[in-house]
Amino acid sequence: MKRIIWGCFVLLAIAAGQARAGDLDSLKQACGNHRPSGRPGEHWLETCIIDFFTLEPVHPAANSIAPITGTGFGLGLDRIFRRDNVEYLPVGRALVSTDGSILFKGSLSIGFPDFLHPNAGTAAGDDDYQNWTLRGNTQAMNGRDIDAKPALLLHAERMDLMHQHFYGVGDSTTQSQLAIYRMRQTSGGAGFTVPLAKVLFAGISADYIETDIKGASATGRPSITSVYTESTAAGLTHQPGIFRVQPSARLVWKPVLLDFIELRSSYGFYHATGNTGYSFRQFAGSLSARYKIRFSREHTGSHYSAFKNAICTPLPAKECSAGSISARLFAVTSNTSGANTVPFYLQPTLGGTNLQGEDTMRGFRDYRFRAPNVVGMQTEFDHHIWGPIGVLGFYDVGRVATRTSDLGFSGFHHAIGTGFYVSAANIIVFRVSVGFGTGEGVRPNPKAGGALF
Amino acid sequence: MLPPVKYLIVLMLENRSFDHMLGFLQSPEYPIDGLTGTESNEDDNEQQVTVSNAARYAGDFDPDPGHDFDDVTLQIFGTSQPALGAQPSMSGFVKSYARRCNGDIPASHRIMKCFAPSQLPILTTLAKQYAVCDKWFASIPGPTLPNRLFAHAGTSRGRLDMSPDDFSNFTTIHEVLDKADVSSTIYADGWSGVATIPYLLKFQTQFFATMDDFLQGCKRGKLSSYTFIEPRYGTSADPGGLLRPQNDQHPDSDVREGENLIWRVYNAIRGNKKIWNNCALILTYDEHGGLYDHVYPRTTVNPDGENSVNPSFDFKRLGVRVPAVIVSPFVKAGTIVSDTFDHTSILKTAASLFRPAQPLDPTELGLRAARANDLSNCFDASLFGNPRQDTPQFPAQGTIPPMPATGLNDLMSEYVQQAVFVEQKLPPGARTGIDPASIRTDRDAQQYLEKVYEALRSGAIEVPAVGGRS
Repeated sequence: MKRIIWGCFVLLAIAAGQARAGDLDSLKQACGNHRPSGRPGEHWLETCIIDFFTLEPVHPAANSIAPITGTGFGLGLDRIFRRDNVEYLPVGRALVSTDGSILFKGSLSIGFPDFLHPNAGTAAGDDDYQNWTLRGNTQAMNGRDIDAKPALLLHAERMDLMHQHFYGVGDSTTQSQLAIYRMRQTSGGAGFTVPLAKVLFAGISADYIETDIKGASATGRPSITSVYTESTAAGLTHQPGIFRVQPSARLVWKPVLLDFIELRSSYGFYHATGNTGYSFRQFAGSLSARYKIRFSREHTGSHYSAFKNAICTPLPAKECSAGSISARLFAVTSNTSGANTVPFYLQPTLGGTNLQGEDTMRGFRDYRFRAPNVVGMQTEFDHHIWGPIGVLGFYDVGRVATRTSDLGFSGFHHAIGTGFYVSAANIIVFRVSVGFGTGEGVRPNPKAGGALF
Repeated sequence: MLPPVKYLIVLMLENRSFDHMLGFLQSPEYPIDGLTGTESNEDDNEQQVTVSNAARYAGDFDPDPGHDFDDVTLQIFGTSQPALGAQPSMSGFVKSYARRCNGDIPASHRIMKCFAPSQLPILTTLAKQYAVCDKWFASIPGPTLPNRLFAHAGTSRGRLDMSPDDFSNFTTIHEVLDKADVSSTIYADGWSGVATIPYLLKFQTQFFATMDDFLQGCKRGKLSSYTFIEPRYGTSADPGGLLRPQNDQHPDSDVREGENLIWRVYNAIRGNKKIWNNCALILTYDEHGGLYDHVYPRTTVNPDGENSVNPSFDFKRLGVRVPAVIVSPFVKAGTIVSDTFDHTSILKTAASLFRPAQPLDPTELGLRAARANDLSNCFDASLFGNPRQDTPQFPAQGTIPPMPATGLNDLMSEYVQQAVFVEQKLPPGARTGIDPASIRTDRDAQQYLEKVYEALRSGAIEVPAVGGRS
């Protein structure tokens, strides 16, 4: 019972963190006896928890630090300053997770006026005007979306992850190969992004990453150092500092038939200091699109039952929405010179959530597949049922390869799943899914939207 | 007789009078009831101030001219306490604005500034190429909200002010049409003034959409039968690029932004033959915004028997004249219609078009809507079987310098309060987290409104499960 109550508290805390910050007065009003009416409102407990976890500038924070580490608790800092048309967003996190992992993270985003297009969007003579205001045509700055504008990001991060999973490198690993490692990583750097055209953004970043890998063990699972060697886990015995320079581009537009199309690409130059045998280059690209499933109807919404309207949500012009289908095609390829290798901890992964917090193949366990090259596709159906509640189903395919030439359109791993989500204004606040069909059991996956974390 | 219109589209802008926008379009060849250039008002020094065509796109009307009931009474009668049976003289505009300007008499003269036709090429071109209604009056001599309520519901239920109200007792044309199985949608660029009406909230995903949805709908040939477009009432708070400028033409915003909104709407409908060959577009304004007009308001009928006590008003007199232009392939170029219209004429026209077998009953949207003139006289029956294909093309207004952030006007303050009311129906985890008390500028307000409206549009507002037959 205690575990259930604790679990519910954690879920509430994570969901609460997705809301925007309040102040001490609103916290007192929500949680104390300061309500004007003197009576608790319908959602008083939820409001109280949200206000507690979103106090500005410093607030308690709860979130997953990284896959497998469990939920981290600590303090968060969020603030927005605006001065002379420049926007400053300092963000900080200090978290300790239930398995002893820690995260210290600080960043400062600075959004500048769009000096390249000072009058963008004000000339109606441009037919593409509306593209400029496309929902989602924003830059994520520390997890917060702001309107597209030139932005400078300065960041520093230190994490100590007590238990990370390694199943070996390549596409034919099994669950029984699982070993545990501990990873400490310190990184810092700067990045700059700028909108070049109404639908095109470009950016460049420079970071220094220092990693320390140690053996670790967990219940019934061996340490990585007792199972793997440098030849089966490149970078296991020596972790050089890596200096990374990474230009990137993002293209997003809204064609008539689709909700949006987005193309992202980056090319990273990873230079290992001291031991250049770990230097490599890495291309990452993704193509995402969403299609809204619309049907014409004979009548307006009020002429149908609530059940039929839940199945197909009424829209303007006697149309209804039966949900939307999203697809994301992604690939990562790594290039090395001569006998150089890509350290295993910098290789892309498939399965669950990756270190960057992105969903990969949701039916598999976190980091289940790992190699220098990855290709995959995620498709998802989601449908808003009522109020903030929606249901979803997904089908993911993907594979990894040690050599780029081994990537192809065969030998894919498959996963399907279903779940539900809570959303508002097209922002996912919280979602729970269950993946199966992988041949490796059923995998539940609760996930917060990540708006603040 | 009304033409075979399948899509009736209304774009209602903010706070400009007929003479201010179109008065100087009058000429011997184009004999609308406009300005001769000799019309005048007396200032507080008993000097006559004559109309001019020297209005600037922005910058003339800060502070915002008064347009509450007491202000409009002074503007119409020349005194704030007219005798019983007094005749309108349209002589108090300068004196009214002098009050807003704290007695600054030279500043008060600006209220007589009107636009030269060349300054408003989009509105004036459409007026001359299609039909202009030169006796279209605001529904009441007062501010925005009650006038916009008349445009949706045919009544303001006795209210003349901008006080917060959840509008729970209002029946709108959207509900009337919906019950007749006619589709109807409000396309708003950030906020709709009727977003708190329960019936519309119940079917929020059907009744509320964005300007982007409208433009996409035109491209796809999928529009509701009845479309009401609300402009952007404030500039979104992008400190750098002013990406989403205010375009409602409310003083003292730049009028060219609203011109460009008209341009976009016109080009969206003419860009799809399926829409264009079956549509009529009504361009009008909710009220005159305190700006000069020389035509006295006509008498009318009280819509529902409800009167205002303080200030005392029986709703039997219309507000000041506003511009109204009807664009349709069923309209001959150069049409001038001098029938008396007010915003309830929109309701009458919509009901006549889409529910022809059942005339509008006074119990539905009030007596005034039931008795209003519809727009039949704007159309030419010879075009009904052969709609015009010569859609004139003209450029939009060019690049417009961004306006600085401004404080909240009465309208934005009211809309923020409406949005707070709606946001309370969101689950706490899905709320904006913006403290309404922290909203200080129009940009803060617009950004807040857009966030709440987006939630509403996505169907996130908690209301009973939708379905008319549940």
